[in-house]
Amino acid sequence: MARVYLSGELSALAGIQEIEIAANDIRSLLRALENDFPALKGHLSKGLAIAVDGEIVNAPLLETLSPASEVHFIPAIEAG
Amino acid sequence: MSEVKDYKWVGKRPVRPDGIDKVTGRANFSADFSLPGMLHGLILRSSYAHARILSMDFSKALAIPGVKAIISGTDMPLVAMEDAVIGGQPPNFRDLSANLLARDKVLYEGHAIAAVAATSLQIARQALDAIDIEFEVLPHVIDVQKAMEPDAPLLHENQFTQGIEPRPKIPSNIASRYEQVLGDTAAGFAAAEVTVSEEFTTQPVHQGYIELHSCTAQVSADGQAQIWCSSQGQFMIRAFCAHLLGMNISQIRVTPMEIGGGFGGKTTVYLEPLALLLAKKSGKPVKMQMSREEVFTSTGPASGSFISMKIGARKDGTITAAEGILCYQAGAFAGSPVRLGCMTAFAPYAIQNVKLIGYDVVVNRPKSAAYRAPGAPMAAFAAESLLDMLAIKLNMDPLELRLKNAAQMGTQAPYGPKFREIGYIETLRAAQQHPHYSAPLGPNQGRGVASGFWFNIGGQSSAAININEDGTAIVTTGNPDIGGSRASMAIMAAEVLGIDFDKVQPVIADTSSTAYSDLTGGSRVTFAVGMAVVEAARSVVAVLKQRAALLWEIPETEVSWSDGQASAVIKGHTSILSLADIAAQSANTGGPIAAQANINAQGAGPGFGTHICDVEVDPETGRVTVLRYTAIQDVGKAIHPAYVEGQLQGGAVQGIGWALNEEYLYDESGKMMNTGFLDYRMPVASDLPMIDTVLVEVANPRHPFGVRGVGEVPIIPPLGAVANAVARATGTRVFNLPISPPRLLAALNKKRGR
Repeated sequence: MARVYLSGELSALAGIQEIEIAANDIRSLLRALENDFPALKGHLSKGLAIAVDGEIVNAPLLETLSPASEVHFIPAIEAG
Repeated sequence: MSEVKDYKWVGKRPVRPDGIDKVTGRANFSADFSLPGMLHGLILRSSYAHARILSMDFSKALAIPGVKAIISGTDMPLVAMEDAVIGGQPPNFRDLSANLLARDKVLYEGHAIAAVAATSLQIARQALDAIDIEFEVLPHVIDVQKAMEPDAPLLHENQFTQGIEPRPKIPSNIASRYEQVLGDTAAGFAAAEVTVSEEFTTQPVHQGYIELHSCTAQVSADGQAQIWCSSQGQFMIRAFCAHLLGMNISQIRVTPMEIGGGFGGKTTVYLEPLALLLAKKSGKPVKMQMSREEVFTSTGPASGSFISMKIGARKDGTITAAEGILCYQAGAFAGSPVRLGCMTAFAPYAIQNVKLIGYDVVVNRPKSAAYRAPGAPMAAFAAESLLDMLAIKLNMDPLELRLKNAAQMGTQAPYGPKFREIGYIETLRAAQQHPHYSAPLGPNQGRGVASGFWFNIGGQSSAAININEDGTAIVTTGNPDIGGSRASMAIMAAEVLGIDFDKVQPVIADTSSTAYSDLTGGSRVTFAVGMAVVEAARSVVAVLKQRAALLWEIPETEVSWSDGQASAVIKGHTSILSLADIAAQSANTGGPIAAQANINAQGAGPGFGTHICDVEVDPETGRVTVLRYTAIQDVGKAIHPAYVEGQLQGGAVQGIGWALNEEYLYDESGKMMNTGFLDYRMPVASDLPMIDTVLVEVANPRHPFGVRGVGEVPIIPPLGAVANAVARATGTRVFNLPISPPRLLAALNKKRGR
């Protein structure tokens, strides 16, 4: 079960700050989140990046998750 | 995984591949490019800070002989709302389109209204003068705090603050609100024995690249387009132009010219879509180039800011809580990097309770653009000033205070994730041990320290390596070289192939000649494109071993590769074939030897830096002289140390300018008054001492050689380091940048009761 942390607008929309979700990769995690929290639909990629186990992952759809993974949704990083 | 070994080329300092052309004036920058029969394009820009366009009449301008085309906002396809943002990521193309050519309103002095193409610059200028436009001048707002007031002049009638529930019903200049919370700040401040809080302001500052924006565009009769320009990403130019103009990406070919500085400011488009439109409309190639005045009034500076911040700590220096409100100027359209300011402000520290609120605010200034570590320097200025104030209050050494609270592997960053391998503590220890930190100071002199953090990024990257028949190699990538990437790519390829650096030729290709790569920015190229180069080079080595096996008529598994040659024990004797030997036989073994790597690089290791600054203040004039400056940074592994040191030096100098001198000065009508380098004062070589550097190497285990990005971090600490040095030199702290002589003198006189 990956532990997912939501903050800011996502947390307000879902009404939770963290949750455990059974998922093998980010794609299935996003599906599960949108299924469990319909209010998140369309918001999980909007200007956001995803950090998996402390590492910000670029285009993370296929990123695999372990049962102990921590997933954070954070603002997208701009390039200077 | 990281290879810990003595390298032949990695970590050495060979002469840069682009150096001789640049110092002899042979390098071709954007403005050097010309085509036969080309037209010259100029832009009509608003002289008002805020006005409604009531009518435009081009008839007189079009009647001038030699005027071949005029375009305005109505020539730009309207980007549909659903196409405004691709994949949820910036930019907003509706806003970008309206920034390129105003539609109903001009939103800042310098906002483009129309563009002209004519047979000469003189005729183009006449045409601009002949365009009739009727305006309704509107009240304007320049200051971020004033723009947030309910009765402030409103830039966008359809902008409602995002991030607030329920959705506001009244439009606002506040484009969005962002909240970042870690832990419980109320409990953290309750546990604090001392607190410090203050309000800070920073001014917008320009990236200050020497090369002006310039481009040439050509559109053939069948709609195929070519652009020659300098930018931080030829693929970005191609994609942005295609999306803005409704073209297929395959219709546009962008050739990157040598770039004379970008620093984030060339990660977007200003001229290219206009040149394309003019070329299409006129049927002729069109060249456009901005003046320095246009660069200042019309291209993105870094955001200015107002920040209110507070930290609490126990008497032993343990920081228990931090909170603050950050308000960033986005310029005329939403999209300041305020979220990144919130994320980075306290990232160097292990603080359990942090709450930061960010506001993205539009004002009648040019749209802000990325500048090294977007959003971080201003937030770090506030945070690092507070840490210095806390150190003074607790009578602690400022480096000891930072060490006591320093983030390390496993620390949860204020923005959520836990850090993996990082080297912040190593930079603090290097600072403590540096002779600079214990050098004596004289009267009116002070020493400041400050730290900074940047995420660094990876991303889509490609590289191709072709082995020539004489054993030399061509390394082709798709990223403009803004900080020495050609040297770094050649070094990494030479290291893996095992051949000399001067046998590797790095090439930056146009968009039709190499695979896609994300733009050069975010300190990603040496890390991410370098990974692609290493992967391609390893593939080439595999092919070379296979070819050697064919020549020797032995299984490939019996061939080993080192120092640029294949070797195998055949009938009891060691046989050797050099890379050149194998290349010469390529026709007999299957044809050309080449490899391509296309990756989405992950695992960019975060970067941390700590700077030490000594200043002397003239108490009679308020002039600050930087006496000594040392920039220390965890760089993972320096592929070409001289280039890495150059990144640290350049970032430090730009940050010192931000701290001491640079600001946009506006008159009451909202017109910028200092649109040249004489009045917009950036530091020059004679202003500063040699910037000393210390490269700390805590390897990033996700890169083959341990690389971390280095270009962003060094601009973050200087604002705080300079301000802290001035405060310690004078006993007077300035909270509003820049600490220019009049501002510091006023603060000193106030303290003296004058």
